[in-house]
Amino acid sequence: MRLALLIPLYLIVTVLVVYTIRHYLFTLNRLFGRHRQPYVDIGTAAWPTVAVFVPCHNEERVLAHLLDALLACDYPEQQLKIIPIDDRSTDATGRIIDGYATRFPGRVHPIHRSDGKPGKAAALKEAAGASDAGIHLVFDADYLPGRGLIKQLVGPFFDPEVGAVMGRVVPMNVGKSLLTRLLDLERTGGYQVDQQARMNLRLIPQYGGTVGGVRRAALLDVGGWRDDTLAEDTDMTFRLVLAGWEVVYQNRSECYEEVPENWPSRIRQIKRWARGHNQSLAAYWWPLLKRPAHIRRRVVADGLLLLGVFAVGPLLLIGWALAVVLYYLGVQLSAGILAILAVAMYSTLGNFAAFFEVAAGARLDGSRGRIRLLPFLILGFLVSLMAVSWATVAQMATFWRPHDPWEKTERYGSADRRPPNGDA
Amino acid sequence: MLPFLALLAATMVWFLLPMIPAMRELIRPTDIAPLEVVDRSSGYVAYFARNFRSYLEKQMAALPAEAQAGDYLGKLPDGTQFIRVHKSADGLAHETEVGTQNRLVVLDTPLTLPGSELFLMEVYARATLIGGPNAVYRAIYAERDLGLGESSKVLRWAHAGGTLGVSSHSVLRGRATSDKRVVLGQNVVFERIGAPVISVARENEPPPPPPSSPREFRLPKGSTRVGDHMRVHGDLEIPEGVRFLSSLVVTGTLRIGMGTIVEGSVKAHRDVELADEAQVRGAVVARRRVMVGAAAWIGGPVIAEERIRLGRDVVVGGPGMPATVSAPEVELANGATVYGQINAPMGGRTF
Repeated sequence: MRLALLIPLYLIVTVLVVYTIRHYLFTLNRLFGRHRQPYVDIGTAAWPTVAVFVPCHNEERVLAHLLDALLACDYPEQQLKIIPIDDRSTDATGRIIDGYATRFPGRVHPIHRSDGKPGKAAALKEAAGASDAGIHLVFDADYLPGRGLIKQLVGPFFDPEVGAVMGRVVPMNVGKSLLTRLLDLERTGGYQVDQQARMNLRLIPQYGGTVGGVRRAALLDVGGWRDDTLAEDTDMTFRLVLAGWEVVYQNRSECYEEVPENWPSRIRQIKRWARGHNQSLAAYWWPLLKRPAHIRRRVVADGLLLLGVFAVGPLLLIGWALAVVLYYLGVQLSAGILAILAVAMYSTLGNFAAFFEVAAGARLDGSRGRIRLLPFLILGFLVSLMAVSWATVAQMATFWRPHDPWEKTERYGSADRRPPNGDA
Repeated sequence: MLPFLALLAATMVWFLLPMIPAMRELIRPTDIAPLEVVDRSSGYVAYFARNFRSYLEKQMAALPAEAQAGDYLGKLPDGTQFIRVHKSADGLAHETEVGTQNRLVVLDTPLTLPGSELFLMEVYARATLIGGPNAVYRAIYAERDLGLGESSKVLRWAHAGGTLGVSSHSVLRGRATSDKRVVLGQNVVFERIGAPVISVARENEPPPPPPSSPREFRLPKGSTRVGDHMRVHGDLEIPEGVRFLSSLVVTGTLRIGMGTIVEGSVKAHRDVELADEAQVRGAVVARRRVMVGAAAWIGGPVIAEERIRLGRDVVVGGPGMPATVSAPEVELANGATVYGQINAPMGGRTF
């Protein structure tokens, strides 16, 4: 009995140690390693045709700001088509889109969906066929790009091996609540450190579903968007990597976003991410482990760890439970194991942007004041830990059902929608 | 019991210590603005020059009427000392240290400077300006042609509405741009250059299409198709005088033979080497170095993560077909011509 409990505990501790080492490696890389962004200086080129897809469902509060910002971008007009996809909105979203299409004929090409499967992945799947542009970019409706962002995101596609590009997401409604401030710190750690370190180390930067895009040829090569997943971005990342394409992260391609302003909305968001990510874990861990010839071992290792990110939370909870049960069974765990568990638990806390990663990211960003909120992050991490664990358990209970309902993140439109430098 | 309580109290204090600045920041926020990162400089190579021009236009427009024309020594509305040279350049010499100009300089008239000047603030030339040798400029904006004398040094940026000519042994820190063309002399050191045409000593155009279509090159067995390109494991050498019709990714070093034409883009996980007169119609990307032989042509961007060397009379891009050359280090031989932009943050040089 005791052995049956000890073995899983040791396995969990091992997994946590691996993730802790990974976090430290990424942080050290960002603090002392070479910053790799080979494509960011492509400022002049014969720019290819681009379609910007904006999946929308009840986005009346935010959509116009995004469309204005996209129309103000410095990308050659004749090479850029903006395709808002109204996915059966019940508010004024459809009328807003049609208004822009009327005012900007040839530039805004709306698609209205009234039937078929709902959700972002399904909308993208349907709309992708409507454009023969060489590059397909995707923006969520609550995002605000700067003037030069489209060119920056398209630049890496001159590399014939690049299948997808991801830019950096920067919260705009930071000052709204403690939650928005904590999410701002999490994003800093996640993008400035995590994503860029993976880019530096030639691992697998993740295409995040917005502020990024895919090459049409790559999209066709892997069979297009899948609408049976809640995380079409993670799904696309792994399908591209397995097929031999490269995913690129560009830290300097920043775009403002609106983060959830209240906890229920945040919990729904992260539960959806967890379910979608776990779907990808179930789908791709084995194909990745089989390692196609073009994928190096360290990329496989990183891919598996990336796939397992949302599984670590529940593992951590199980580890705590096992440790408590073993204590009451009279099993004396070694001090070393307890210390490792404590350090791994505290420094990664279920993998949600480790404290030192956030601190390093804030330092790299040159932001000093906000870092003082670091101790409060434990609150956000604990909420995420519980939400993700709950979502995972519920998902396992339904055997990774393929048709999970899509839950849309609430929009606010309450932040000052002008970027701080007033560019968009 | 007491030691335990003391330890408990000490632990609590230790734990709560970081909460003090956290609570202060929560109650009295000092840093709640979104990060000012979006579109920091738009990646636009003439960003600082354009900003300076619009700044100066606003300042000059706000000057009193008597300061709007003619030779003038005074202050801009924001307090910046400036000197305007309308007819006579004598004023430029009236500084405490001979040859050193502490003021922002506005030149209304075409001028040829003798050389060895040190401009500690920006220079704005409404007319053609020809600098002398060994001059040092903080930054310089010329509405028309701008010529920098031998061994000149620009510390931040230089821009010309007309041709920007840079004589040999000069150093261009920061950004150098022109609305028409940049012509570099030998042994010029630079970081970022942008212009419709950038050349070393002489300007070249893309080669005409070959008179006859060379035979098609077939990849070795084991190469695979990935979407719109072919992938080859290991090194690959494409022989001279052939034509390859697709884009190509090579996991080793890629060598393209003399006169060979690649219709797509190419990438190598190590080096890309183009022999003399080879042509790549798309982009060339390497994780290490790109070495290009004489009179070769590349139609798209050239990107390397270590170094790019463009040989004699190499052309990148073309009229109506702009391109970027970007690597930490870039070397340009005589006659090398780039239609667009060159980025060499660790240093570029001509030879």
